[in-house]
Amino acid sequence: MSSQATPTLRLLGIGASPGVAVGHAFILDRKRIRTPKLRLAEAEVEPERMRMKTAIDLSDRQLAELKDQITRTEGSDHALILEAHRLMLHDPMLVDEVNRLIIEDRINAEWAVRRVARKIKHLFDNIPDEYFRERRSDVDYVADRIIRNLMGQVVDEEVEVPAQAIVVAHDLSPADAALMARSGRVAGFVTDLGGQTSHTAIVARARETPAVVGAGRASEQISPGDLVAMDGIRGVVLVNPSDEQLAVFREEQRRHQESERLALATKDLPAVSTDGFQIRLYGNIEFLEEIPSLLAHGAEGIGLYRTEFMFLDRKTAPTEEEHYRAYRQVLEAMGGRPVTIRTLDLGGDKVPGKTKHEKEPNPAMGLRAIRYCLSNRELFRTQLRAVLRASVHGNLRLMFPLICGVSELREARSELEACRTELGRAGVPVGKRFPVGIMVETPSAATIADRLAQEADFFSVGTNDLIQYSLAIDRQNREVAYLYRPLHLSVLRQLRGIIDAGRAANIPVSMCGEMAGDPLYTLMLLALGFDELSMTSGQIPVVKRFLRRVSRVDAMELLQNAMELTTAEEIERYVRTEMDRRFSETMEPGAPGVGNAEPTDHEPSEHGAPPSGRNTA
Amino acid sequence: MASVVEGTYEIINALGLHARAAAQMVKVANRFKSEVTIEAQGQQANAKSIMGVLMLAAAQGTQVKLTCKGDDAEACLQELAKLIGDRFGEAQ
Repeated sequence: MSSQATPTLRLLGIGASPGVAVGHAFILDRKRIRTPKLRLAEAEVEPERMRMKTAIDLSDRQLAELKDQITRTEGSDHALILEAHRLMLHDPMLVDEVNRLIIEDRINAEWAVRRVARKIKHLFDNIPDEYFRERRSDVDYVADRIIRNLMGQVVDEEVEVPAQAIVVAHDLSPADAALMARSGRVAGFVTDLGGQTSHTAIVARARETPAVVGAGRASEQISPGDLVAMDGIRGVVLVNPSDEQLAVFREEQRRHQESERLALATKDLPAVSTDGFQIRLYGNIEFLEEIPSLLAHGAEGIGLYRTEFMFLDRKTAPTEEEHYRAYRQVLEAMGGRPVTIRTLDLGGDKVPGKTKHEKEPNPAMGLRAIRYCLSNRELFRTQLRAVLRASVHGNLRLMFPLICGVSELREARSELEACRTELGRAGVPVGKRFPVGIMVETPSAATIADRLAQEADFFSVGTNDLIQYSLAIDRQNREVAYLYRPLHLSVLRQLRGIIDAGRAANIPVSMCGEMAGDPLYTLMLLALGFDELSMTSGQIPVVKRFLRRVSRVDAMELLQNAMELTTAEEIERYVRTEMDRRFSETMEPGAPGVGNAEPTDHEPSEHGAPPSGRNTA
Repeated sequence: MASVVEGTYEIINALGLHARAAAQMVKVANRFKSEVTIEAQGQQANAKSIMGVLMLAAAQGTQVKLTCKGDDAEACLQELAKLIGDRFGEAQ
């Protein structure tokens, strides 16, 4: 189906809703309207005000009708946005001011609406809280609707989306996004504008439809009917992909669908080996909207809640209230299940409102994560205070990333305790003490895990960084990427050392890197003795199925044999063969394959760190 | 007879005066003839303007002062206070 003649175009945006989709492009062309600007004669003023009133009434009826349609099929969330829009239509800030401009400045209604909307939007610009600031886009949607109605344009055109289409647009209004998602015919969304909190992103995540936003000039560069393959995690969009690229996407898509099917079957079963060893399977998340999918796939908790999103796509650092609100919502949505919050894991270049640091030559080893937090105490304290306050609302655990030594852990903990005392003194409820752990993701931490275990309440192994630092390879570098080997003996020995240290100190050890979610490693991790594995929701059913089919005794034999081998190639070959032998019948076509040591990286060298700044564990 | 009544309340619902809560407040205020102003952190807005209320960016824990002026001021303030106290119908 792919065209050999057309060259492949590769676009990079922000992965806003996970999943892979392949389909033909449907371009939604909602051109920005040009506002006509006219001066009125005195006799035209009254009729102009009537025209304005008619346009508002018409807009109101349209929104009421849309809301009605959506409520019937979609539940109340999208309807709520439309209800707020209806109130904006009648808002005195808008209506009175437009009428004043018509009467006093003698300008036409379209122009007046545009001018007032711009003024209101500027007022929203200065609000530090992102949620409230972003309501300025609602002002725009409402103003656009009034102006279109004034000009007699069709507003809510029934868009016939072909089945399995990839909808490509400059931007989507909440009404468009909700209507299209409702049609159930959209395979994926790609928009030029938008960020993680735009309406498209929120609607797409709620519908579990893959989405890439902020994709530059996608709506101009993609033509109707183009074959599009998109990855809503990495933010990659391939237009007219080659047969090979397409095969990779289709495979991933198929695996995704298969795991969905499995999810339903295994959701409520425990992840326990045939001889009774249980591992708790948790999910990794970044956004509240991912929780329904997590629970649907049987996650027993959240093993990694990334907080970087709080800092991205904005001009000022998030307030304590914003942090608090986000954490509280997640804790409440998870009921009493554990939620492991990881403090900021970014470098200063990504944090808004701070003086930009010089570009570091080697950011992976630079001032980032806990190092950055400890040298920017105010920012760190803001997050810690919010965590402490949120802890009242659920089963919270806190962990610090990139810990290399005991003093970093002590410093971070004492900052946490200082915040607790301060809040307590101010009479702010902070709840009981909660477990405070660390990410073990540097060779240094792995080596002194016994000492760290004396002072941490739990370990969470971040394999992506641990492997990268241990093997001294840069995963973004195409020349050395082949050296990234999770089954390298040095990695296995480090993992064993970490577990032994945790065991000796009687603290739980978890893993939240990519290795945790790849079924090729499931038996090895069972044998090593991990208490928890945390992964993306889609990976949980497969890992669970593998766990439920083996005994720990058998897994330990596999591990022991593997660790007697020497080279990474030998170990990989051995483990792969053994896994094939054990699971061959479950790996018939249609079943998710083992042996995708790394989730297939479509083009490893180019995308680098996704622009969303999403840090894998 | 026109009267003026006022009261100060704490926003206790988790999400604060976000779109849903702001919409409810405006709808209640609109049912009355009184002029209603809402003040938070030194900023004032017409409580019948959803954009004005949103611009206050009032998060949970914010103290807001409501002032109702008009024949039905008393009843209006009572209804609004009840709405805030009921967490705008949000689950706790």
